[in-house]
Amino acid sequence: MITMLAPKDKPLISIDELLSPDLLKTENLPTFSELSINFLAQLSNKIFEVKHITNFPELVALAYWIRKTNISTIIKNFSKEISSSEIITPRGVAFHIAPSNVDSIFLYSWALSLLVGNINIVRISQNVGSQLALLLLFINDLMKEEQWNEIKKRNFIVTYPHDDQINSVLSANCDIRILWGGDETINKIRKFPSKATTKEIPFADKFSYTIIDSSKYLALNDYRKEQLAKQFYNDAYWFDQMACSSPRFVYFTGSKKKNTLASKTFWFLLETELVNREKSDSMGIAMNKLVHLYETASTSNSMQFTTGLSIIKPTVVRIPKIDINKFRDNCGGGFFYECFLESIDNLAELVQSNDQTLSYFGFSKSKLKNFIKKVNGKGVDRVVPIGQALQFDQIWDGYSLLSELTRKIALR
Amino acid sequence: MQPIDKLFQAEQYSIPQVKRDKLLVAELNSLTKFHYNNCPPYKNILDNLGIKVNRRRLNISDFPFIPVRLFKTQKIQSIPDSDVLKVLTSSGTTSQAVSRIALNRETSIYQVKALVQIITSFIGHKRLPMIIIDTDTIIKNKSSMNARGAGLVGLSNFGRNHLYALDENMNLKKDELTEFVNKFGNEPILIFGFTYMIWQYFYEECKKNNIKFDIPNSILIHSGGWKKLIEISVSNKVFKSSLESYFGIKRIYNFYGMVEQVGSIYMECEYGHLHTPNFAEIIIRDYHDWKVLPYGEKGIIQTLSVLPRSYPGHSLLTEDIGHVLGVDSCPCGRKGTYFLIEGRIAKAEIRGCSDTHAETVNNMELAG
Repeated sequence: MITMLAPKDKPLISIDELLSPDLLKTENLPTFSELSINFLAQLSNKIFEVKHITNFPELVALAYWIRKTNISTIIKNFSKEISSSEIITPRGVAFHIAPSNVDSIFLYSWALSLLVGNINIVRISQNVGSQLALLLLFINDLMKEEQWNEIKKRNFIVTYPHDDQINSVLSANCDIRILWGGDETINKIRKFPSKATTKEIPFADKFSYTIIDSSKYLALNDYRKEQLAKQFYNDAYWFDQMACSSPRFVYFTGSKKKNTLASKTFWFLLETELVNREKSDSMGIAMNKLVHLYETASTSNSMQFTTGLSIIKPTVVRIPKIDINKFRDNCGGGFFYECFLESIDNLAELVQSNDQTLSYFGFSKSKLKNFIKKVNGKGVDRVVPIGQALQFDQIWDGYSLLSELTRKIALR
Repeated sequence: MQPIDKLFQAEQYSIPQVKRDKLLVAELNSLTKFHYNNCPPYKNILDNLGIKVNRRRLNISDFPFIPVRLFKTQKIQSIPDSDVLKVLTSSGTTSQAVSRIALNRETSIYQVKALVQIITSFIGHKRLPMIIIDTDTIIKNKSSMNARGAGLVGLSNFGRNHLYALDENMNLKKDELTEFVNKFGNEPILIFGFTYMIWQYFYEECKKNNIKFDIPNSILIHSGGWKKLIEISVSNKVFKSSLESYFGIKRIYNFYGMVEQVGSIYMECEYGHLHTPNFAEIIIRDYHDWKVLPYGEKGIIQTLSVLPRSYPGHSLLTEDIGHVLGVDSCPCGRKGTYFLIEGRIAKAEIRGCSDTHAETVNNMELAG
């Protein structure tokens, strides 16, 4: 049986009831309808109304993203790419598989799919975290209102235990399959055949890192350095450093002397930021970091670790360039590998095919363009300033999601 | 005579802490050096973390530890493969990484000797008729054995006329059990099993099927962690009083031990305190910075043992939480450190994009 999380009219339904003949006959909503835009705007308002909402930074980010002005900008930018002899329409039924613990991320792809007019069935994990529970509460509140009836008829957030039958029926009947949850989930769900015309949007296991120009960094005044630490904190510590876009490596570029000094200052200011936020590791995370440090130490003959383990400090291990890609496993929770490079050109040769977000400080757009050209498709999906690593963009993992979620029709 | 021989020669729990500490420190100094020279991953750890091997350590808390979880991900041994007598594994399920502990002859002999000294100091030297609350299928393969099997084999040495009371499907062999008790019930019987299994497959089953017998002179020894029993609100106290009131068994001993340090087990005395045997010690560490905590404060348990010769398991950081009650002063009269266990570190919630199908395996943590 399927548990309905939103709408909640009937708490438990069978797959036949969910994918009823009525639903399969339901028309798609128009692309970028006022109704969909307003629904997301209302959801945004509801989130902002929560007292102490700043305790849920991930929700705040989501609320900003789905408010009307941002959505309008996204639509405007996307529409610029479409010529007058092309028309954008929905694709039909979208089946989303959400990751279990990065609670809010699937909301973004769901919001985009809803905007373009698709019908959506979203399977989320069995364990609903507190942020997600709050979101579901709001979505249900809205769905109770008459004015969102057309949204309610076309959007279903559900959960069920791992069930091959449900997965296979949904796969066979959807027009789009959106697979969060990494390689394992992708491979598992791909076993269930979909229609030949079904469009699949897989989000594979990804890896992200940061690059800092040491001279530019050292030239900053104290205030700007502190600001950068705050921004890096958000990138690294939300989702306990376990989102695909969370930085796990930090590259410093420049002379050895400058790199050493920049590194020292950077980690010290991050530590200060942890203290200011009264952020400390739980016992479980502290143990994970200790074990991970010992694992690294047992296999490396070139690492440097001088800072000591503490629950109020980031754990930082220095690895030479030649070995850095051996350490792509990470326990999260504030465990970083740092690596000194002479210049950003050295990074190009280190890029791997599943690299996602490169967050940077101190590089001009033209330098970054050169870097991307040099990598030439080998990896890296996004290049963004430090502080924006987790900021969702309709261009994600190398796709324009709005293009993927819609059908583009030529009218000549 | 080597310090380890002195630790074996003396009666268990008889050496005052100060003296025992000296012997342990001497032995651990040479073990640390030995493993450093013979186990490359261990050498890497010490070198990379800036831990000097040649420093002569004076205190038991000066020795470097390695986290037990490392035995699940790395091959860590200090002997060539050709010297491996048998490999012990923790009792994980297939989907879980298991610890892999390589034993040579020397370590294996020390383990058996240690266990004999500890157990006999509690139950005497006479072999008793023995009921094992488990299935004998678990011990069929002798060269590779999991913690549960190793525990059963180790403890079965203390009994005779063994009855494995469960079949391979964990059903109680009711007729054999009744027959066994009828035959031997007039003398003390030794009962051994894992805590959860004794409760679930023996006590609960006997109650359900109305199998009742009175064996007040018997001894029950059990181990394996409380996680599952705590879930159903069975504490050590409840466990003891339930078994006593149903079977009349008064002498019930729990012990704490792990597959990574077989042999040096920590037995619970009549007062419910766990005791360090001659050849082992525990230290409580603070997870904030991994420094040593004073007596009485709750923290992560580090266990030291002089038995491991074939792998650097002489100083391990466990994932168990506990606190030291005192030293040399337990009312039971046993010397050495005595302590309590309060549970296990809660696994950090893994957040991430790639975890939709990660499933939690509720594995019974067993130890021998």
